[in-house]
Amino acid sequence: MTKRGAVARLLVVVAAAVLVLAACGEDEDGGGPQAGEPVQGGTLTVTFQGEPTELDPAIAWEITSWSIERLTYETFLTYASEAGEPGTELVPALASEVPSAENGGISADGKVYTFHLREGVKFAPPIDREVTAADFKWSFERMMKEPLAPATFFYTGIKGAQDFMDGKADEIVGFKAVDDSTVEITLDAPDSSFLMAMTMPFTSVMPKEWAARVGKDIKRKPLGTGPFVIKSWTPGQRIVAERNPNYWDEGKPYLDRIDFDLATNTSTALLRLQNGEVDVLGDGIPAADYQRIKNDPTWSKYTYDAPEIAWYYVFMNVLEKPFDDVRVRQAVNAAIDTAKIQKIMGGQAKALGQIYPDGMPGHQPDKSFYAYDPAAAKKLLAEAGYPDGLKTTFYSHNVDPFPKIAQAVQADLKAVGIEADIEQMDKATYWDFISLKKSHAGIGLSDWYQDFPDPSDWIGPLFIKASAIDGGANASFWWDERVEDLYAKAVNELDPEARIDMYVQMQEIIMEEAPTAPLFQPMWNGMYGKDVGGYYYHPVWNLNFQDYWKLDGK
Amino acid sequence: MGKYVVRRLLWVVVVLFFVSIITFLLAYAVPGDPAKSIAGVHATPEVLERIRTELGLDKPVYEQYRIYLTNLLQGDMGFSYETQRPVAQSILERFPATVMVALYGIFFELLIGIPVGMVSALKQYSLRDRVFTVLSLLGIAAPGFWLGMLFLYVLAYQFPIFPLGGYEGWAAPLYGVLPGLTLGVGGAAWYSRMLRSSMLDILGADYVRAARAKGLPERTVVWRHIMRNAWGPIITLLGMDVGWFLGGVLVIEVVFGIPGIGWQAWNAIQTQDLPMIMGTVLFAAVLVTLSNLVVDIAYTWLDPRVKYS
Repeated sequence: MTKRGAVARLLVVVAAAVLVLAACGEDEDGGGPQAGEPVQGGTLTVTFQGEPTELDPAIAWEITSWSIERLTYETFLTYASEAGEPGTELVPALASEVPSAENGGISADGKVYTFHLREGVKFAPPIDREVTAADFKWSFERMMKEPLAPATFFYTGIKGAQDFMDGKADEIVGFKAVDDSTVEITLDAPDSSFLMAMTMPFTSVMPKEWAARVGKDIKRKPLGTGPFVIKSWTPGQRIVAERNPNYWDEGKPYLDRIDFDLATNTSTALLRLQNGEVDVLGDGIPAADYQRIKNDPTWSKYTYDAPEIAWYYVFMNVLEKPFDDVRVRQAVNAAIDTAKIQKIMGGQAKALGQIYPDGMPGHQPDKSFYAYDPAAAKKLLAEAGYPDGLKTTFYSHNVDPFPKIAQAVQADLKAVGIEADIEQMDKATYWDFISLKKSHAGIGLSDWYQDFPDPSDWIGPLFIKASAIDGGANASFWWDERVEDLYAKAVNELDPEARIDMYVQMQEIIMEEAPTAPLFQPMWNGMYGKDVGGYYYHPVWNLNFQDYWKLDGK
Repeated sequence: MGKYVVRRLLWVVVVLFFVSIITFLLAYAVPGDPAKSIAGVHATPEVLERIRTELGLDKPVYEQYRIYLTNLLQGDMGFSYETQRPVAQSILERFPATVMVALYGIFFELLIGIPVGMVSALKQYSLRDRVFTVLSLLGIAAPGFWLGMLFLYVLAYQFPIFPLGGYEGWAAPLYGVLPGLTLGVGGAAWYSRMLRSSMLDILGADYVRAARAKGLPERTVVWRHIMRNAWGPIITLLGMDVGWFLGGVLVIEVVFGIPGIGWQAWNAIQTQDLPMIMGTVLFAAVLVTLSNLVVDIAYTWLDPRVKYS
């Protein structure tokens, strides 16, 4: 047999095999992995393009780090293991119940929070001892005095926290270990989003003696109470998590082990998943492959689209002409064809005509404050004194999808007479640039992802006077006495319905004054392998690996 | 000769000094705030201020450079802003992956480039020469990420001969083949073009005609008389490639998921991780200058006419 014959035969065999495999895939019933009882055992392989900078709960504030770190570290509370809005409900983790006025966990004046610890929670091996209230106090104070801790500002409302950070006190008096199993936290003033701040991973508990033993390595060698322990971390290659034998929640986790393959190219990761080598795409489906996978009869069954609690928007800096004029800002809102932008995003965006995305309390279903209406926009511009249009510079960073959105907005603005030159810069530079008044950035693109599912996380950083400062996130530099009033009241309001009402009112004012033009709500486009059970996208925690299982238990 | 090497090594130190100043100033000329990269866009100005103080970013540039240089002279390349780990350790940890790809890359460059160049030169304007010329141009023009994805798709996905990207240490050498092949195909074209033209210059030389006239077998003519004199440009090219490859070829590392120093440097640039940027640039500069030195020494060995003083 000639060599050429051998190659041809190989090709035929391979082609036949591919066809057979494809046919098998189509025959499978599309019940999806949601159905069925969890199976114990097995290894889940997850790919990430990036790598956590560290797994230290005091410092890490980035989604890859969090989704791995949270396997090992826990806080008093967490969010329910559910997709969509039910997933924004607080449930107890290391605490025995969620503090409330009814159970006496929150004092009548709303300033004192009491957490009772769950019984019998132990740290992972080799520490193996029970967690006490003192561990929580030590861990919290450790975070507050870590110089690189990025999120201390969520907790400076705790009595004595600022003094402790300034070195004027050697403990935080407002964070008390009353006895071995009770923590009492006193605030300077009521704060209705405090429980959510306490649920962020920054408040995780760790054993003091472990931190002392590993020293600076604590950033790479985490140890807590969570369902998994981090067994190894080979830089740039792999993080291996294994089941924690001491875990308090009986029967969980389902998996024995999770392998995180780091530095994986997203397109290669997709091929590996289709090959059966990978179970979950940590970065989701690459944008370039999204439509192809969605149209694939086999693989589209293993995709998962879910709205993220986030929004993309145009900011307009009210300190700069012509955006100091509310009519110009309204005109921009009416001029942008958001349906077209959604189309450009190719199914990776959901319509949003308000500031609160779907899933965030305060979101008004189906409400859109501005319709796409170029004629109305022109009229508003004429009333504002720009009948012949105007010229401006539109700012954006250069990471996809920002540039293509910027171009779409530019075209829409041009159609109503606003000639905008696009100025792009790299991402790190961009966020710094638009946060400074001296940059005189009049209009540009921005996005905001939740820290916790509460509208205070939208208003506080983006729409109040305290954040309209150099280095803040309020790039519009806009604020309004009415919103200031409502926000101050809402922070003190303990009745959930009444306070969400106030946030709805704030949204009405903000959309009327139009310091921003909402574009869309981004969608998560996830994908998992054929052997994965229980996959879902958590609205706060994103990929919640501890809830997944392998159908074959391998 | 010994004196020459010592003098060249001293030059390396001078070069590094200037490289360090230029890199430092360039990193500073770029607007943006490393503190913001570390803390994220949600952090407040007070938090950013504290982080700047902690990292010494609130000091004037010359003061920061002085501190950096003082530490560097004591062999301390500092800590990464992002990971808080020693820069030297991070670079050395990732170097083996880069070296593995570089060795494969050079191997494939030579394996493909040299035979192709020789055949093209010895059978000038033949059909084979023309085909090779077109293929070389394609090799030069094909973008690395495209070629890399193509190899992955065909040789790892359709025909699962090689792994689908990744790196598992030197114990698993198969992971380096496709990245090396991608580098090699792109680079081989340069070698074959270079070798072809340098051989063509020599083919017409008197001593080649003399060798042929005295009836030496063709093999001896080619290897002893033509090739010995045609190696020069190849060695120069090789020296440049070694330096370049060992600095980490970003595109290849990203496509194949090789955790090398190229990717690390890319991350450092995006997050304005100054100590890591400085460390990688200096490391790459050392490699380039050293490989140039080796090339120059190799010349004396290949060509006794070259003398150093």
